[in-house]
Amino acid sequence: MHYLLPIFKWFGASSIGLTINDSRWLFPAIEAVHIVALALLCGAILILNLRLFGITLPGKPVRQLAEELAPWTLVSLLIILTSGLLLFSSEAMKAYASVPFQVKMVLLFAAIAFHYTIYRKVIYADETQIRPVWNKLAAVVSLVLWFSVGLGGRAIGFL
Amino acid sequence: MARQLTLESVSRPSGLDYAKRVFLGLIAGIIVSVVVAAGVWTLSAAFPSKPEATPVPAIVEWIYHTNTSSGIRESLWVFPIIEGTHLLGIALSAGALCWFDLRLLGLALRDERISRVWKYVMPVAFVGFGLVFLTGFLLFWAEAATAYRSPHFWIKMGLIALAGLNALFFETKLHPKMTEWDIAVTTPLAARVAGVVSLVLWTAIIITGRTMAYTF
Repeated sequence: MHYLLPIFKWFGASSIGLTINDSRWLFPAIEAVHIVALALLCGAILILNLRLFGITLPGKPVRQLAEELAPWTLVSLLIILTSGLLLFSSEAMKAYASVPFQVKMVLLFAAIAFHYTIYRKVIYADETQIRPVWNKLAAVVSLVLWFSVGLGGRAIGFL
Repeated sequence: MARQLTLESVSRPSGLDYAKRVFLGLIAGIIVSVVVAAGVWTLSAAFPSKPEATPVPAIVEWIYHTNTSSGIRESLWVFPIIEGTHLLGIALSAGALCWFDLRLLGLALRDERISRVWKYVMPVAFVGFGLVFLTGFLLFWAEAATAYRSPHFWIKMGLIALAGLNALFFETKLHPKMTEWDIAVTTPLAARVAGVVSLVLWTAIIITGRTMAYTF
């Protein structure tokens, strides 16, 4: 981890980080945007995963639903990453020392990587060709990953 | 009467057009969030938190001194777990509900019947609402006296009551006639208003919950 320390220090000393730190309301305001976007992202992921289980909107082609949800997922993810980076800048050194933060980052990168590689392959696969077990498996992995990221974020505030 | 539209005749948006609409929608969402947050902040500044020593009603005092209350408040794990579940509940309730609202507004899932979106999306939201209300009640129980003194808590309760009224309006006035505009992309004005009101209120409720934590 120590070779990442300069990056943490740079963010911690950045004027954006310091500005957020000095303000009484900036941190809560950015966090509010972070959580609203999180609800939207989790909602989109959830609806698609429940479709993979055959629970929501059965009969609607998975691919079609996925295509429709993709822009919502992407944009809310971008909002989350941007606001997350701002929050991180304001307490970079605290994050450096925080185990939940490290775990969350690993899970986050895993979730994003999974979402845009394996998961993407499964949801865009020909539904008549793919065995349903892969759909369900992908849905479970996706749900576990994304919800762990959310809970990891909550844990940063407590541990 | 329902317009003679088949689901297939509803044009599917082209990729770029759709992405643009989503983008504009989310920008609008952020602006609304910021405006709402500023509103909440101004309101809470107008009614500052009452000082520690402010007497609270006997019932609040009693709740605060129950074993369950101090148990949750002082525990290392129970409070974070309840709050984590609260957060999960938010993602399930608001996260699912927003798809129904966005369908009412004709912004998402346009080629799905509204009744089908209701049937498959709302049960998820109801599970989420069950979770948030249960965990929210426990969190209140643990911090009853602090919550009572916080303006954010009362603003949040007011907003939840308004969201409840909006839902009641939808249930009694609009839901019974839902089949008449089941496949319409542009739903009746009242339905669109209910959708916007729901989105704005739930955004505000989430934000108030967050700002409340910073005054504790």
